Amino acid sequence: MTERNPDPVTAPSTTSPALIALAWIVVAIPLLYGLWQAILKAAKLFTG
Amino acid sequence: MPFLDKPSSVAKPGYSRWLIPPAALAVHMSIGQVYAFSVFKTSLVHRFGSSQTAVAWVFSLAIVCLGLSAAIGGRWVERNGPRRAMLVSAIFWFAGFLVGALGIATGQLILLYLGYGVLGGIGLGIGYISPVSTLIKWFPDRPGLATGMAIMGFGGGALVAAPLSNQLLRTYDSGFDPNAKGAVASTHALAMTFVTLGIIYLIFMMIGVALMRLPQGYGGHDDEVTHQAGMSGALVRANEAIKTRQFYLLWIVLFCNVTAGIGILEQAAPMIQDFFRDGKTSAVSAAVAAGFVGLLSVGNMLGRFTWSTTSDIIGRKPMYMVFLGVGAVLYLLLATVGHSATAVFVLLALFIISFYGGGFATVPAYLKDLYGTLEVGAIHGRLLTAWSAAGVVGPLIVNGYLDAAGKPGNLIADDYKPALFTMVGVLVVGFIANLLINPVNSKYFDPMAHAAPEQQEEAKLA
Repeated sequence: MTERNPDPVTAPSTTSPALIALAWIVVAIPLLYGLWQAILKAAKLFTG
Repeated sequence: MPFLDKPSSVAKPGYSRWLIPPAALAVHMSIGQVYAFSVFKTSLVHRFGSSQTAVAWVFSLAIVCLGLSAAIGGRWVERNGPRRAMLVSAIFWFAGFLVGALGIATGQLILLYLGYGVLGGIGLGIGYISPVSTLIKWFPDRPGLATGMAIMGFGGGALVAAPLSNQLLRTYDSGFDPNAKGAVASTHALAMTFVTLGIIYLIFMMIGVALMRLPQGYGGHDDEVTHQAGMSGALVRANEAIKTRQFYLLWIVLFCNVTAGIGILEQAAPMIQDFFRDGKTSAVSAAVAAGFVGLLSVGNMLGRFTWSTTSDIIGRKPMYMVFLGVGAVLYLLLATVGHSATAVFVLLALFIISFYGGGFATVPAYLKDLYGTLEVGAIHGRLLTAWSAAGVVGPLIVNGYLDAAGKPGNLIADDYKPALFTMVGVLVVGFIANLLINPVNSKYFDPMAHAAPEQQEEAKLA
């Protein structure tokens, strides 16, 4: 007997939007920091 | 720890699938540090009194162990679920830094090999594949977007780790200036930076473990749950997948794409200076060349997300036709007109490197299309041996040609032509391999695995 999966695409979410936002902020801050540092380094390509 | 078991890892009703990408990102951003290992190179060479090559072996060993552990551990990851796999990855990654720090503190290079190279490499391999299959299960409508986000994190991890490591070295050794040529950090600073990075990454990866969940219905044994089928209803186990022609064609595709990308990455800074050299002086300064390397890192990272997401719209096979076909044309242009203007050179290299990143990020979704979700993580793990092989072959090709011409940093644009034309050939081979990929023969499908009924109907109609 197989277990029928609920569709994860259409399943309604009851997770707090604040928790989702917090999770994304935790990973986005270091990622943006790294990206910013790389852009600063890359800027030398245009400014010499 | 039973809470890490597959059944205990299943999301409760209402759990948002948008918590899964940050969980995957937390792991991939941590292990992506490996691409920033070069920031320690000069200090490590000084500490151990060894050659550059001896220290470079630490990185090579880590990448080889990544490929091997992903290939060997893939089925274990599928059986035990993403949370246990991510925890094991975090422990190995953490232990790798600690043992590496011990090697630095005691002056034993062998401990750095064993720690960062072997233990860390195992953490890399398990960590790289652990969230991939779960992401595909949560995002059956957009598998390219989902895996693109995670694998973008691997590229982004290096962008974070390089400045973070330099900052830590400066904190533990006030006399260390990372911007000074040939600057060397003290043994204490190196060891403490390794320990600190290990702790930071352990905590960060634990956030991923805490957030990661399997979608409902995936907690039981493989035969008891419904899977998402690939083309023609394919649900193939890893041991069967490696018997199919498609696996080896895709292996060649990934190998060629990575080999060609490494051709640029390996020599980026001296290459741009050599392309615009007039006599003994180059129109491109060392600072500008460093900026070019920074821009390539950004292109590599953004390419992973952009092209993988695009593949959800145009399809996986056409996407690789772009990576390999357009990539070959761009390489040809780089060899022939790349020296005409810095902007032309930079633009061509930027697209080439974005295709390199995109190739990594799109391949899990391609595997899902071919084999279904039954053991897609394990199949992905085995495919990553192409990465390890390309990591050896790519630099060999480029360095082989350049060594014969002279020393990179003192060459001219024409000296790069043989290597660049070879890369065009490599990409054409990959392009042909991609063209030959077709749906997997049904004789390889697992007889016990089940797809959703509507998917079985679609497969019959296809």
